Amino acid sequence: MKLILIEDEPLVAQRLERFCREILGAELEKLHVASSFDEAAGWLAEHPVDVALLDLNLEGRDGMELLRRSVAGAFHTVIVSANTDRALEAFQYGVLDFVPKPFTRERLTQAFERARGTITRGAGTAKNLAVRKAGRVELIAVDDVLFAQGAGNYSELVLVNGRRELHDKTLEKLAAILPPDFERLHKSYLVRLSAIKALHASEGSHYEAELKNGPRLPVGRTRYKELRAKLA
Amino acid sequence: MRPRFFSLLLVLFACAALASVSAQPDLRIRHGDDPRWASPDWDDADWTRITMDEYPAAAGPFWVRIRLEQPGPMHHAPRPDQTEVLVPPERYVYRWSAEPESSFDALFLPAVYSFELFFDGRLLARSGVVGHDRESEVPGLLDHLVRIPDDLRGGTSHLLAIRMSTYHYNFPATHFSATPWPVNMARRLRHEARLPVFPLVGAVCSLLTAAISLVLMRLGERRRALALVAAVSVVLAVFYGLIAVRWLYPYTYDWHYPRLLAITWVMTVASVLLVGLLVEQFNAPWKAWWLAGLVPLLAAAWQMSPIYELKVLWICRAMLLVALALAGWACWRRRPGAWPALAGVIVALLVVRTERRAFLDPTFFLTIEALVLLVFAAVGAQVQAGRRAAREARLTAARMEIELLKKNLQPHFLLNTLTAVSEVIEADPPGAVRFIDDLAAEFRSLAAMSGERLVPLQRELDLCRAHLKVISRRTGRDIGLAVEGARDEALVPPAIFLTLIENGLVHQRAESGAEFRLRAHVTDETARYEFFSPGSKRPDDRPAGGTGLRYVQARLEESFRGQWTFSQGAVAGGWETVIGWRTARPGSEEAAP
Repeated sequence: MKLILIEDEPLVAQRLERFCREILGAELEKLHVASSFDEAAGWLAEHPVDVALLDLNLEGRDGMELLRRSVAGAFHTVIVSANTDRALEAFQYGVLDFVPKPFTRERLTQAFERARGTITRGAGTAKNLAVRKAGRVELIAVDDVLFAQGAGNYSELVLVNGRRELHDKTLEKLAAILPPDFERLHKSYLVRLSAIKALHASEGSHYEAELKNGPRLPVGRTRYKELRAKLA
Repeated sequence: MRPRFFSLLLVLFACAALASVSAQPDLRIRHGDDPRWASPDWDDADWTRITMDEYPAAAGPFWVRIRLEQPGPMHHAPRPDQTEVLVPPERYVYRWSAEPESSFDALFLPAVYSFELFFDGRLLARSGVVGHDRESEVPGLLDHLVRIPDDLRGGTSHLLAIRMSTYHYNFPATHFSATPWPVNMARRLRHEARLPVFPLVGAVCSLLTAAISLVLMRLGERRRALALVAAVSVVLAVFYGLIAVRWLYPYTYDWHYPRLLAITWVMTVASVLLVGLLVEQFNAPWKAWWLAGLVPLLAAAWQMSPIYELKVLWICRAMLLVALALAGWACWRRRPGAWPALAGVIVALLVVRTERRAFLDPTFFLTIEALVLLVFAAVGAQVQAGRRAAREARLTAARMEIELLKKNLQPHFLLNTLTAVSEVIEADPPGAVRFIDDLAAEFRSLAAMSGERLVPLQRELDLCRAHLKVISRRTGRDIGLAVEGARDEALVPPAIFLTLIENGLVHQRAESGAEFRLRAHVTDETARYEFFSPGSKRPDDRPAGGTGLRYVQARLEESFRGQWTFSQGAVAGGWETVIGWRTARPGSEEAAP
């Protein structure tokens, strides 16, 4: 696992680094500590990362803009902050977890388990998804997303109005932060359950989900039964 | 004195020249003593004719004979309801009437002498004992209402003979005026019953006003205007009491002069106090000059008339003239309550007239009392405004105290610090103890300041250094504080420089080894502090009025109302904030210079 710690206070950064090394052990491939978001952004531009641990209040400044830029990335963002009053807002931006300061090793372990996917999904509360557009970050309301289609290291968000937006996160990472209403139909599709009109089975164990606005999406053979039960 | 002042006096007292000119009644006097002189038939042709103002003082016994005549057919008879109005030539002209309520059936004598009164030769009244010298004379009561027997009424001519002595007449004049008034007895009695009412009402109102003022002062309203209201009210109550005493507690005529003298002096004192009250209430400049201007007017008023009742009215008019100028000035400067006071003074000036008339009638009492109450109302409004301001100041102080305590509890600072402490405890236990000591020192300093409006600069600097120690431990950057020209004992609002340090740490990126700098220029009356925050400005713009700056400005306003300055701006290598205030009167309500 590749980590970046974005924390301006040396002692806190030191504690985070120590815990990360203890928790992840050999699983930790790389760890970089940045004391500012700009420094982190420079590093992220050249290095792939799985999880970013971000302090919301870097050097006393409000970190929501930093958060928007962070959650638009391909990696998971875990907030480590004293500003617990901003936790709900952070979750709505699509962070994976919010670890309040002062933190313990156990709480940080829980955050990493969530990042690994060890903890089953269902806690996702994102209400917005950040997408990069021509050097800026735009927020898309999760309510406007019909389904997401995997596209390699990216995802394509298909919106209710038919518009398509490219998101930096993989489908797996999106699944971790989207609300439980989104269901994995297929290795390449994540669909809002309420958007499914009907399930169709055809010859050769070929299954499809018909969406209310027309399109038909393939349903994985292993997921069909579970999906039918949920829609019943 | 300057010619302009004489001109002013001339205008002021112009109506003094309007003294009434009257025809003289048939009044004759003879020194000596002979009981036969009481007879209406006695030939007094060789007696000395005098005017009503030529009764001799400190003399006696002597006799005065006055003829009462029916008016001729063309003579304008006075209306019965004017019996109490002094119109000299007419008062000896009477008309017997069949109507009980309108006829003259008595004589009213305000007698500053001892006497025996004969009507058509019959002794009707005696007051004291007429004497040959001061020792043998016994002074009688001042006021007398003598009923004329029914059988003596009627006819066209009557003779009033008075045997008198005046050895206890102690006015400075050598002659005096004596006036037996023909009156209707029933109406006169009702009139006399009403006479003390207005003075008593005035006295009660004045005492109540004084009591309320004193209670307000007792409750903590230490205003000079309130003390003056109380003083004016007490003096006016004495004034009213002296007026009323004549009708409530009849006294011998030798006390009349001391009473009138006291009334005149009391009115003089009341005038000075009333002008002083207006000067204080409207916060007029050159306070002593207003009072100095009143003094010659009062001195002139004392000389305007030998009659003490009229002296009082002139004194009152002089006071009202100065009050008019003061209230006019206050209106011009838009002082609260000035317009009602001006209106009250104008009404009072119109009411207080000095032509010869009934002394101090009800309108006089009502007007003077209304004027005092108007000023009192203005003081009351000021007290209310002052209390509101004090309440707001208390709320501000409470809010500031909470703001100060919040600096202790600010989540970002506290939780980040606890996180850092957690790390140091595990990684470097001895260092953790020092860290906790530094943190405790900052918290102790802050806690000691909560509830204070001003603290010595030394304590503020200790707090700043404790905070910088904690920050240095947390951030690993060694940031110091240099101070120049400061007086340790100089008072400053708590945590204002701490707030500037916090702002500096947030908005500037100071490298390790940098220093905040405080340069002080403090005198006994003013203070000026230049505070430099080191470091390059962060990319984001500095907010114009963040929480920290609002705290600093609210603290300055709380302690130096309207007498402080605050400015800030970028300078080479950092950011400078300049704060100044006047230290002479912290919390003063006076406007900033």
